[in-house]
Amino acid sequence: MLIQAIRGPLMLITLGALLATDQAGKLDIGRTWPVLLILYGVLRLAERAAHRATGDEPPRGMHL
Amino acid sequence: MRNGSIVAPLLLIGIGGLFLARNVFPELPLLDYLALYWPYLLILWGALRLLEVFLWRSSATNSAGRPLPRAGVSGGEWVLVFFLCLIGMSLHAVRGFSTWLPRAGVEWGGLEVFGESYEFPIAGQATTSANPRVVIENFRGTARISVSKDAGDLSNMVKVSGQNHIRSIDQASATRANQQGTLEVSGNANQVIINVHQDRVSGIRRLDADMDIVVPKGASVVARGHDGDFDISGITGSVDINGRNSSVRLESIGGDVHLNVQGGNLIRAVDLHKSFDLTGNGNDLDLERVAGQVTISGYYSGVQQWKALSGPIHWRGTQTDFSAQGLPGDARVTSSDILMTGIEGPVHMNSQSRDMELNDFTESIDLTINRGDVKLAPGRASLARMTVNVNAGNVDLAMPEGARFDLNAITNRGTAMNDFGSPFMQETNRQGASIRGSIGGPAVNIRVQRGKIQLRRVIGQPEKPGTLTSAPKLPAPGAKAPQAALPRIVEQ
Repeated sequence: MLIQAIRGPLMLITLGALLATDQAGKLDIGRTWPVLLILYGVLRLAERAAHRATGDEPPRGMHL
Repeated sequence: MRNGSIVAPLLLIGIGGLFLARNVFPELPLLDYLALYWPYLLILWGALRLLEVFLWRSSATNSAGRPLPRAGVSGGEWVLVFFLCLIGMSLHAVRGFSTWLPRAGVEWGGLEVFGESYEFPIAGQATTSANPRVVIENFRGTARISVSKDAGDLSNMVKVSGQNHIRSIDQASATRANQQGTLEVSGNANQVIINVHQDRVSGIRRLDADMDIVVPKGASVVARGHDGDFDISGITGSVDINGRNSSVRLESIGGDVHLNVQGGNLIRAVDLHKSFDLTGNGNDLDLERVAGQVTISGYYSGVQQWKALSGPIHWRGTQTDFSAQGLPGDARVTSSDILMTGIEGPVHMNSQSRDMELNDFTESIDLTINRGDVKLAPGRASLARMTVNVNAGNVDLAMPEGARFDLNAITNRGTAMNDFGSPFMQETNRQGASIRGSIGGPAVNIRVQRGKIQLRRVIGQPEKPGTLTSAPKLPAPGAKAPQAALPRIVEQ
């Protein structure tokens, strides 16, 4: 639940960071965007693990 | 009470603060700050939401009255984030920080709408041999290339001076562009490369260089560029220009000239000592005093003026193919008319749809016209073979008194008028007509599918080709050639 709640803010922070590094001319967002997918996947996995630990049914579907 | 986020009020406070700051300190470049630092707003937003989640959580565990939100960032917020990204990226691009939109300038019909022009001086030089190859790369702007007037060692140098004109929204952005588009003069004694690196300038800023390049007299010039205007004079080497939307002016060039210019606004070449070869398309073309061969290939929508071309000419247009051994006189070619005076034959002309008037020509002439009127006035008594084929159009043949020729002129549909008199006989049949006869000379064959044929006699001593003291006055663009342009004609 906590992970689910912080997922959105974390994604937003990462998106901001990627855009900031892009605009600073360091790393092109065209190359770094998969980081967002990876982060989302990792957070979903962490969420599943948390649900397993508490014995809850993990939520289905994709939502941020 | 429903749990509200502090982000929305903070956003309102932020926007209010921005407007207030703009009103209080109008000179503050707020838009630039926003364009540069908007991604940090996203980070701040996310951090605030994260903080809120933890605060909620701690209060939830403490009082158990406030459940955790299901999603840290709601759907509506993601929509806002999306719009913020759009606005931020657009600002970034428009303020000229972006490399995403190369050359995406706001340009309407060649007129730059935003920003103002800033100027920065540029200079560079290199020592070379007496006949170096000077290469101008990726050029945009105006380049004037002339010959060094210094004697001795100083003459063996390539010197560049001028300005970078940068169109930009503000000074800072223009300075950045100037740093990107720095002049580089490199190479060795035999080849000097001049590059302003205008391709490196990003965003909507536009850099035009205005350069004066002084080269040794023996130099050859090779130039490439979009929107580059070149003005080259006095060199004895060759010129090779490959450009788009360029104007080219050449004067006193000793070597071969090869131009490949698409969208050439004006191409003007005067005093070329060797050949001239032009490929491309454009507007006006002006050629004067070319000693070598002239080859023109392409469509020119404006006015072409040729004068005193000593070498063979071959012009391959989209609708017209013309060749002659020289043009000591002059010619004016528009999209509807061709007027030539003083041509050295043999002349070959093949045209789809143009009216033409050829005066004062030597040797044989071979004309094929699909649609258009033809006026021929050889201007001299000693004639050569003439073959004229016209599909639809009138043929007017003005022969000098005393000229000797065998005429066979036939129109399949139309009338024939013999104003020359005997020994030519005019015949009319059901739809067509003909003029035939012989006074012992070269064959003049005229075939017209639909149109009139008129044979006239010109009285008076015609001038010799190439020695015309007063060339016929050229008509205004689009106007028909005036009758007065012809030698004196007696209507019988």
